[in-house]
Amino acid sequence: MSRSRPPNSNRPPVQAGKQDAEARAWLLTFASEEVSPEMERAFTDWLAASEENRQAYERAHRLWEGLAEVDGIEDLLTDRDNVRALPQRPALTRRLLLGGGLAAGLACAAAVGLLALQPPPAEEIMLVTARGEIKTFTLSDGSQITLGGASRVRGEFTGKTRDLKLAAGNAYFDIARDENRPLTVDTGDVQVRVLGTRFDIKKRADRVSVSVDSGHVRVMAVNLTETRDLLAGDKIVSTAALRLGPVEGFDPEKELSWRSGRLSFVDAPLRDIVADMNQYSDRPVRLGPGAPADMRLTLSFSVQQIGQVLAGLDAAYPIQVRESDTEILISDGL
Amino acid sequence: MQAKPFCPDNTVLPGPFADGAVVPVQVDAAAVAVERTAFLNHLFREHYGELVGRLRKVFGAGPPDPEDVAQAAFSKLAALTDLGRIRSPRAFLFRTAINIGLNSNDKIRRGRNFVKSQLEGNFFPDVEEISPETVLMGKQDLERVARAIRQLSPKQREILLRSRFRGQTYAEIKQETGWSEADISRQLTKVMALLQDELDN
Repeated sequence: MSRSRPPNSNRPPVQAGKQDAEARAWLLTFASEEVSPEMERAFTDWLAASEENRQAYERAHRLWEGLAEVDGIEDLLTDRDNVRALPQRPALTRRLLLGGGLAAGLACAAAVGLLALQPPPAEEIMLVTARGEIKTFTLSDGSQITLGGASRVRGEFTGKTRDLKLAAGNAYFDIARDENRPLTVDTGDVQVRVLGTRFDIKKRADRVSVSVDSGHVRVMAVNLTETRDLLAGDKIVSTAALRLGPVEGFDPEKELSWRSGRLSFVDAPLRDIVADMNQYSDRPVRLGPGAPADMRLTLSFSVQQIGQVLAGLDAAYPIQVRESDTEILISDGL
Repeated sequence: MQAKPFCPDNTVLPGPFADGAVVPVQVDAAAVAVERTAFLNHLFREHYGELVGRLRKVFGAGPPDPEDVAQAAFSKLAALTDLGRIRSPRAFLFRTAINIGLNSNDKIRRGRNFVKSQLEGNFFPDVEEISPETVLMGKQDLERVARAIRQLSPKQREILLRSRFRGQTYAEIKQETGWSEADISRQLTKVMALLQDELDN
């Protein structure tokens, strides 16, 4: 490859000239990557090499710029309905990723590369529950996904891949087996890859837990080659500090009981319990300053009884619970 | 001052100033300034809210903040010498705002400025200071592109949105979607080829 050839230059379509494909490759390089001085020089050389190159770049550039003048482009590209349901999805995703202190990318399904050769159809998946809602969705492949309150799963199924993303909350995945179409669930922190199995993922502000109910699941940490293979009864917790923690056991009765509306905690810090309550409570539950967020509790209760549970905690522990019309505030009771 | 100071078809107004070569010109200049301010105010009232709404669909709550970007786009508009030649203020404002938003990503700003410096005064005008007479695509071309975009897969649309409109690098798109950079690059290259074909045929 000569020095002035553009990077990532794909084979041009039959009708288009070589210059057009090269011009697009250059344009996309500058639009999408941090460009080195060497590449800048190579671009200058390429641009100066022929009048055809310059004209081709102008065409590509007109199109790229002109995209922003296409009427209603923001709706065409964002899919109006989904945007209405989740108006702040992109910003939220980015904030969560940055908040987790994560740097670069995720491990990626090897099969995805073949997609470029495949025309659509792709099936777009968007599952959402409201606060307090627990709901099971059935997908086109027969898989069933149960979402906890205030949870979101989105993704895309193609002929070759099944890619899902747990954007918020928690979900139980009962995945139909398809040897030729592995399924991945990306949580931002870890990626879970399966052929067909049952597992549970809970996404929290500072960590993600994966519990396998049946079958075999591969968990990969973001930005690392680290992977763990989990079998039925195995659980793993990933945090920004620990990356993938050790494989541990779990009690399916307690870990998975949320599906029937029951939350169970064993020696869990109050902050985690409050986080889960917030998926179901009609009003936000807030830990005030000085509240013992790290106090560890073992509790089991129905999502319908959050108010009573908090009242009970008020009576039994050194905390004070104040309810108003807009929130439930937990503060230091001493 | 004349009751009818602005004279659009350049006919000389009747009355005491009719013979003066200088005075009517001054009247017109002042009137043009007044008209200009009125027109800018009109554009602001007409388009600001909608522009912020459109930007919110692209950026969410930000960053960049949709209101900041919208205001910066209006500043660019107000700095133009010839407002009358903007074909569509709505399209101009949106494109300008999107391009301003791209500059909030340090990783690609340098490259954008480099391309700008290479192209400036060369064979077509500067991207940032889009001159109103620059017609990128005609109405029919824009419609063809819209039709072609409807044919793209959801994944291709998502990549196009993130790259062209949110100014994300491949690495950033990978981080948020899990797709590999090679795949993202291939998809985007293909999208551009498809759209160009649509225009050429």
